[in-house]
Amino acid sequence: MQERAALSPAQINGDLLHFALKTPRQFWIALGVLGAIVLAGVVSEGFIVVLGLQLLGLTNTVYWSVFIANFVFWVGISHAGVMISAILRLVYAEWRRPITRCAEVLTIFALATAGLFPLIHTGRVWRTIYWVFPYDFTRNVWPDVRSALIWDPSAIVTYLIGTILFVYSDLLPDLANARDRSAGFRRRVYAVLSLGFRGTVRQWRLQTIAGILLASLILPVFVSVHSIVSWDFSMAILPGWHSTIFAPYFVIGAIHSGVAGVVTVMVLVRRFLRLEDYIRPEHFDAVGRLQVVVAASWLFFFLMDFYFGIFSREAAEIEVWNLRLFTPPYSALLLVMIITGYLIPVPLWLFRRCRRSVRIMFWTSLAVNVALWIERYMLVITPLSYKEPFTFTWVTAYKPQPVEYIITAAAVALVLLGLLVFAKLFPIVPVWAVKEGQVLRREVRIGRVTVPAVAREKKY
Amino acid sequence: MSEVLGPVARRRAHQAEIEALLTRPRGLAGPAFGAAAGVLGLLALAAGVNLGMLALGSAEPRAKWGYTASAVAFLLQTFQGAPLLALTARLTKSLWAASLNRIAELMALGGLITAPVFVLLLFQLPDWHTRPSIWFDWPGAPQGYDAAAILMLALAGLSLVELTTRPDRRSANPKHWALLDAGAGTLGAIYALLYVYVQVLLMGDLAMSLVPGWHSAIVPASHAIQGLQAGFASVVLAAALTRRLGRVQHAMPLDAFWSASKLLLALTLLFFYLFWAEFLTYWYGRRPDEQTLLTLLMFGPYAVPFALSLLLNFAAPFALLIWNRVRRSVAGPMAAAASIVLGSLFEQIRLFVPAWSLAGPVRKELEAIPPAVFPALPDVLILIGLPAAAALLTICALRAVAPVSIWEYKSELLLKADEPYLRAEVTVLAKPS
Amino acid sequence: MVVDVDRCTGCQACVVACQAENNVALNEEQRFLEHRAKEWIRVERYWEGEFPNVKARFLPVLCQHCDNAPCEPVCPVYAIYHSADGLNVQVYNRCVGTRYCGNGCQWNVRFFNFWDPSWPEPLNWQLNPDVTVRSKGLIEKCTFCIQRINRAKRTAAQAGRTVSDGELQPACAQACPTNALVFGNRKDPNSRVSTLSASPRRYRLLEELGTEPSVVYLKRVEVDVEQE
Repeated sequence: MQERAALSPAQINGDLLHFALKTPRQFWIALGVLGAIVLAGVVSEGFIVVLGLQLLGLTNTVYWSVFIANFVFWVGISHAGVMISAILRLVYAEWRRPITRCAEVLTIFALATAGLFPLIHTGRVWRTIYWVFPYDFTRNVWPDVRSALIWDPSAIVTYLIGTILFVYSDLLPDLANARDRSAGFRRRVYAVLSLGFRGTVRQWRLQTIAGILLASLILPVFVSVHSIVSWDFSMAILPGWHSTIFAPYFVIGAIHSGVAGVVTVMVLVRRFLRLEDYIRPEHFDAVGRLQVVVAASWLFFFLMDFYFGIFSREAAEIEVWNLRLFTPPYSALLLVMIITGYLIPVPLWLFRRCRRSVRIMFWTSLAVNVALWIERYMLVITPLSYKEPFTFTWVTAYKPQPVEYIITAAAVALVLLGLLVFAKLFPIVPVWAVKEGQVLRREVRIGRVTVPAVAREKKY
Repeated sequence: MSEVLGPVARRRAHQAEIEALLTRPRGLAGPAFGAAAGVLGLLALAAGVNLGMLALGSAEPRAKWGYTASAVAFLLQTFQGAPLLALTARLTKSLWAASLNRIAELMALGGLITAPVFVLLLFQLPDWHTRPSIWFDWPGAPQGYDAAAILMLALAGLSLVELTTRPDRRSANPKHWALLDAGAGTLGAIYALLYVYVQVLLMGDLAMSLVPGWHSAIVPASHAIQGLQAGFASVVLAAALTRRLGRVQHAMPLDAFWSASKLLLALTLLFFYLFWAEFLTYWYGRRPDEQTLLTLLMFGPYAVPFALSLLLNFAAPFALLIWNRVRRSVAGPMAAAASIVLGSLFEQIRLFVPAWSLAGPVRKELEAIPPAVFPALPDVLILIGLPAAAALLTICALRAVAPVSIWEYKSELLLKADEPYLRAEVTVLAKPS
Repeated sequence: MVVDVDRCTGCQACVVACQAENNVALNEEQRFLEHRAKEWIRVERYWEGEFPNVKARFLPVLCQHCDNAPCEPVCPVYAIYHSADGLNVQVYNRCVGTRYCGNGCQWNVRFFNFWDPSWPEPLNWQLNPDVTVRSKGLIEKCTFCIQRINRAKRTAAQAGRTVSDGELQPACAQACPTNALVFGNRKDPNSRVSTLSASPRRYRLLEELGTEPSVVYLKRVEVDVEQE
């Protein structure tokens, strides 16, 4: 797992902190472009607030559409952080070191973006923002805890707070490092943020324990957040939504989409920050192997949903599947989904050469996220499109409208913008973790071969 | 703590001693082994006789097969789920529970008992035309396909046993090692895929298709994860027993149980999560057909096995395994594992007995809930005897090979070493991959 | 409420009356094509048979005021509750428009306001002062004319009695020329609705979902007419 010569601490500091300390021109261009797209999204939302949700393609039966698909999609992507940093940390996988922070930061911004969508999809955004919280004790006006839409904010806010704490505790040593290497105003800001971290034994112990505790505590949250989001659908009695399998299905889909999202971010960080020495083909190889297992599980759950949907021989369920399988445009979308989500990526990922190719990993990761976005879209729209138990009204063909496209694009831009600004202000590859990896490197002679090894704390 | 996690260096010093321990006749040799084999054999015989009587009797009522179905499912969860522990380790190329791998793989021999009884049950199913299924007008469905699947799973298990015990039974040459390297991982993956497939067929054809209105898509997946949990638990239980009775403490150190218990805790939580997902969806929707289903399977006549299953599969192991001190022993994981194995038995009872107790051709709707079917003496003998038969096969196999795979043990010693670092010691793990 | 499908002629007087009484927004053809038209009560029309023996069947569908409503527990801001009278009540000023209740309603009788309603002159003069005019961004539906129910209850309370059967009618029942729609007190065994509900012709829409609708439908009586 160690495919290049050891780097000195000075070199590591220089490579990983230089972006935070200097600002190249590309940064401003990227900021401008992403900012413009986000602004377009804000303007569209302004139109929606003033003119009403008539600007969307919603109808009397298809009441949830692209915004909810986006919500589920971004919550899914946010599962990247915990998968990569918490789980891999708890199983001592060395290859996680350079990518934990960009995964966690992706989580934070994906969650924050996801949290916007349930707000903007409602009819009265200015009320939704505060009425879902139990603040009005004096007048005895409460939100309804029976509603899955109240479980959602609880789960997402918990996850967001947990992840922010996790990132912060992980960031402390690097903030201290940046403080020690900067001057003036910057130094003062880093000094405040680093909470006086000086690298004493006691502080390192506390930082390590905090990291392990938060990683363990966030694991149940990781499973429950997307399960709760899935229960928005399975709690309804709508055929096609009222399925018991949604909780693990969504979680596996989230892991699939999240890990692919991390791969995309890894490639971008490696390319634009020139960190080829830190994010190496061996990391893509390891992620690729994980992705094979996750993709196979995702396909399994999809097939279970399908088989046991038609197993029931209930007319309504079969009609929804007819809609998905045989009716354009949904049939085309389903085909695209299976091809880009499984049939193209997984055979490629089975080969070591492909896993080590950064280009292939980049494009397959994008393909996977396209597939999962389509999956969310189909899941939200198709059962609603069919919701006509009295055949007097016809099955509605829902068509997304321009504002929906703009806001979807703006969400992507918002997440990328967040990552960009974070990478500017803080090191996106954890300096202390990479250095720790260097310290723990060993080489062992077994017979005639020298094998790379890693030192671990003795288990007692 | 009375037992110490022997440091790797100390184990290396005892290597020759331990190898001798592992290759001599088992601790269960002589009269003790004979007694155990005798008891298990009698139970197995009783089960076989009763099965024969059931098979030769009349086709109705179908309810008489309920406990047999539970026994088959129990075997699938415990004995045939056990090899998955070894597979996980092999697929991730890690050594965390290497000393448990041999026992895990030997338990795949239980497939020799599961397969014929499963096939016998397949022929007791009503015609698929009258019940929900995923088989359309395919010839030979479902008996042909289901039988093929369970036989292939048994075969895969046997091949796995053969492949991984080969270096211990004969002297190995480089060709053997190459085959083992390539084959163990691949065969393990095939076994895992077949296992999941068999779970889908078991739950689909032998449980859900018999109950009108039960088409819960999560059941095969949750049953498979519960199989993982029960399989791991059976390995921990069997290993803990072998360790004590076979006096192989040095070869099965504490850290294997420590690592396995962390996984057991995670799987216990998963058990509850998957049960909760199904329960919440059915309960919240308030649809009458789903409420009837909840009554049949959880809160009605089978409330006692259901409650026991939750207690033994979730509450007790969770309460035990969250404590670090409990995890870092052998007795703690063993108690939790015993609880899970017993809980798994009750879980299969509460899933299969109600399904098979619905008489006649499968109707469109579940109207009346039949009263609870209590086990008669033949049922009890089958429930105890079939696992006894599988256990008998396993302990007989333990006479032919050592309870800890010697080749894996040696490779573990090669790849791990202790070295001093600053003022402490670290364990260095070589990663040849 | 009892809906006698045998008596329904499909005249849609109920639809118009409801629109007038409850300040429901006006629908144009475009709204129907977009599938966004608001009809708190709608009359569904089904064609049976082949020309020239075609028959039309009419089914008025309105909010069923289910006892076990799938729309009620799902509102995050508690804008929906089940009143002591057995009504499924929508609180307009609390609704934030998540439309989760609309997804749950399998009869498609919950209508979301996609835009602010407008009534061209002089139609804005005929708005009912007893009923709120709903803004955009929230869900509305049939209330069994709760303003009339409350007025009747107040009148009866002031007179020191309870509301008698037939004293109040929602606008749709009042307008129906054939008395196909009958409204009353289910708990009163002598009321017309209780008597009609006991008919062997009774059924309820989507009864298998177990939501316990309060609206009972009476099946159409088929009479075979021999063609000469």
